Amino acid sequence: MKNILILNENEELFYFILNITKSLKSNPKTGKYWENLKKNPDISDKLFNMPDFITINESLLNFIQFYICLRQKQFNKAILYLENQINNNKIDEFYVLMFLYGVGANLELEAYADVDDYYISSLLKTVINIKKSNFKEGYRLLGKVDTINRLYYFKELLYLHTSIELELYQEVENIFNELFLLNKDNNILKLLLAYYKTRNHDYYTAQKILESLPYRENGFDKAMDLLLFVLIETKQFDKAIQILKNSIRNEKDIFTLGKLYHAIGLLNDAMDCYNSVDEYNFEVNKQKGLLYFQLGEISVALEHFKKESEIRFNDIEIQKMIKYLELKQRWKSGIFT
Amino acid sequence: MGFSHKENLKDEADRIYEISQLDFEKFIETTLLLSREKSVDLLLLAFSNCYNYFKEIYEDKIKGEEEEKDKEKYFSNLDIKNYTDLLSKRCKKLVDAIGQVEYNLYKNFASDIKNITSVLSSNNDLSLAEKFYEILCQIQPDSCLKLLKKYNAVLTEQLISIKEKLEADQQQYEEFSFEIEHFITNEIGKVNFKFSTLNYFDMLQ
Repeated sequence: MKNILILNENEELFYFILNITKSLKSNPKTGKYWENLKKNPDISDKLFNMPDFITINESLLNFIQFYICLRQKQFNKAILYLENQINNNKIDEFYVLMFLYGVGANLELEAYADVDDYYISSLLKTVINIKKSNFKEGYRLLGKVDTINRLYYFKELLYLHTSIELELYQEVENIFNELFLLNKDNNILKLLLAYYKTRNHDYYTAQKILESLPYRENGFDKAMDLLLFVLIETKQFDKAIQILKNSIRNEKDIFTLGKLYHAIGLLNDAMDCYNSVDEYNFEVNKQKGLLYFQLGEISVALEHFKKESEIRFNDIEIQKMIKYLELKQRWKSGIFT
Repeated sequence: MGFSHKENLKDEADRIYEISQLDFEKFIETTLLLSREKSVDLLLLAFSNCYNYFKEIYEDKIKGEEEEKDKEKYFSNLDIKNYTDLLSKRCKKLVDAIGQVEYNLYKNFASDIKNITSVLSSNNDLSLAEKFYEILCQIQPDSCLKLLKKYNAVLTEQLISIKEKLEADQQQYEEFSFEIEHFITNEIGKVNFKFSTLNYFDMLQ
């Protein structure tokens, strides 16, 4: 806990925005402003009615303006705010925040990681490497700045990511313990822990954690996806169906729901789902082919497999199935093909 | 009162062996223009009648030659040899016409095709049988292969080739069967749900 005590005001804001500390949530000014901005980033008059505590901190103001542009999809304008920080020689916590949000929004920011501050530069390059799934290089970069404790918890989060992917399990356990000491109620950390447990094939613990999260809430899509993954891996199809049925988000969910119905033999429900998704985005015709095959309707099954093969002509399995069904139809039902 | 157009064709099919050559040509031409099912029905009927009569006359002719009897009393206006030649040519022309119809239209006449093929094969009329084997090969390959195996000793080159093709096809089907049935069963119970790596910073809002 001693690390919290040594946080300066900027760091405290940094971790608050990263959702690591709750310390500012009860603060009527900062907490409310930030939560309100996240909910309604499209209200541009926010730019003109900034509270004093923001306008007096040039870097924070720059970050807020960057954030609003990002949420309003004005990416070029957003980058100008990032460049402002460099021009003003402010490679600080808010520059890191801009970088993180920018990378999260898939902006090409690799060049912006190359800053004069070697420590910050190493952390930002690690972020880029994590994004590119180059975990070994990320871990190596962190090792080079291991002795520096500025933005300590941020560095630990980066260690956590690289260690999970590199399966350095003892290190992962230690880092989780440390981070949960700081904030045991952090849902994103819990989700990360569930992810780690899933990676470790501890599906039971992962499921318990995920079920305790507000996975149906906006912004927790990843939690719902991970829970569905765990349920499907452990063949708990009924539970997965219940979750999906009540929280359809997109066509992928409908298609997955269809496959789940199909797997447990609810063929009519499966067909309804298959009929609701785009055959060009999902292997709907393959599934329909399998379904009709189950029903013994070989010629209809064949028709669907052929449609699938027209859309995804490189699928060798489909070609094989078509060949087989043509032979089956020829030899078993004596129908001309 | 005269026959309607269709009744007339049915009547001609029944008497295909005795109608004039001009009527025979017209019969084929008109029948091929009919609705496809009807056309198949009439052509098969005409062929059966023509072939049966041809066999009857031909056997009588052979028998007559053996017994040195004068058969002309039955066919006073025709020379028997010319008549059997004519019927033989009509059978071939009818087979050609049958070959002009899409083979898949014969699927409702599979049993007729099988009977005709079997009769032609047992009478050793394999040149006439070839077309029927070709059709049977498409609509009932298993029956076709059985007949081809039954008459293996007398098959023409073309029929040997059909038999070899069918045997290869059947072997491929059997080989495929285990592999794909197993694959399809597995595929039905499989639900893939991919989850990529999770990044704390992608979760930031």
